[in-house]
Amino acid sequence: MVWLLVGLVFIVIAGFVAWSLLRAADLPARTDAAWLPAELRDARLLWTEETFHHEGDISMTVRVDRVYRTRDGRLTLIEFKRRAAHRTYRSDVVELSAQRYVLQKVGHAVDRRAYVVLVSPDGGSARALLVELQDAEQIERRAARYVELVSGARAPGRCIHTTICRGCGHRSICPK
Amino acid sequence: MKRKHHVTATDLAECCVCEQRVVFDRMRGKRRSGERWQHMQAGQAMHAELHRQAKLDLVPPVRDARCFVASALWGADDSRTEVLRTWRDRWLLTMWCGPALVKLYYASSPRLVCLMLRCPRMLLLVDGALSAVVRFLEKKRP
Repeated sequence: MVWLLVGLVFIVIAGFVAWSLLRAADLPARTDAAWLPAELRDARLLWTEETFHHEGDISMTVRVDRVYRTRDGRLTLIEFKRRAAHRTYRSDVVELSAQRYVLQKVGHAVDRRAYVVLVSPDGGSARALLVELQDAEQIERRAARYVELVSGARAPGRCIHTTICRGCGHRSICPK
Repeated sequence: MKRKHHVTATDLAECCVCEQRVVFDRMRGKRRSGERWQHMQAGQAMHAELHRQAKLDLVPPVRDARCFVASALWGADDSRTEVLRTWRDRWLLTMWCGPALVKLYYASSPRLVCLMLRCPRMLLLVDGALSAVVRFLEKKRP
């Protein structure tokens, strides 16, 4: 009698597992499946929109869009840009490099390669472009230059392109 | 006394675009054209939406790494074990009787593993059955 009961319970559980497996057809796909690079298919999403801070001679705060951890334990950075042009800019690389700099300072091993995911302004497609990041020394130099600029110790350089000036609210007083 | 400076990643990125604008932003506050503000707001909305989506894929800070049978068969870090964990977390545990079933499994599976390790035929049988389940789940989920 007891074995019959055990058998019945087993059948019910097995039936439930089989049913839930069949229903797993509705299991939602990863939301990043459309654009995630092949190298990160097995990686786990670790952080999204997370802020990190490093206190040093020059303190730095960064906010990462996404960080994935690969099987070998290294972290890969992802930065989203809403952009029609299919290209990356130096500013993207510097932003990601600063993020890497801070994450490394707080003790994480971060891959030198990162991705800029370009999301088209109409919200349709998204595509990841690989970028090679700058090293810690370059970021420290840039941070030092920034401090010199805002403290008035160094004269600022000019704009990289006139199209940037069109959207700038300081045009009327800009000497450049 | 040396004054402490604070920099953000955005500050450094902005310097690549226009250093003069960075200095003006610091002195006078951020000033942009209407079109530019709209573009920036659309960018923020995109980030908020992607963040909302990403939370569905996020690994919980304290994830239950247990998966006794699959770990005994293939190892705790095997991709097949991970597929079963994902199925447990994203499907089974969201169902009304899922948590109870998982609890029952955790209570009984250590004994099942002991039994399995003693009996090679059973090991083969469970390996075959679980491999089929993993293949099925992998087909369903890209």
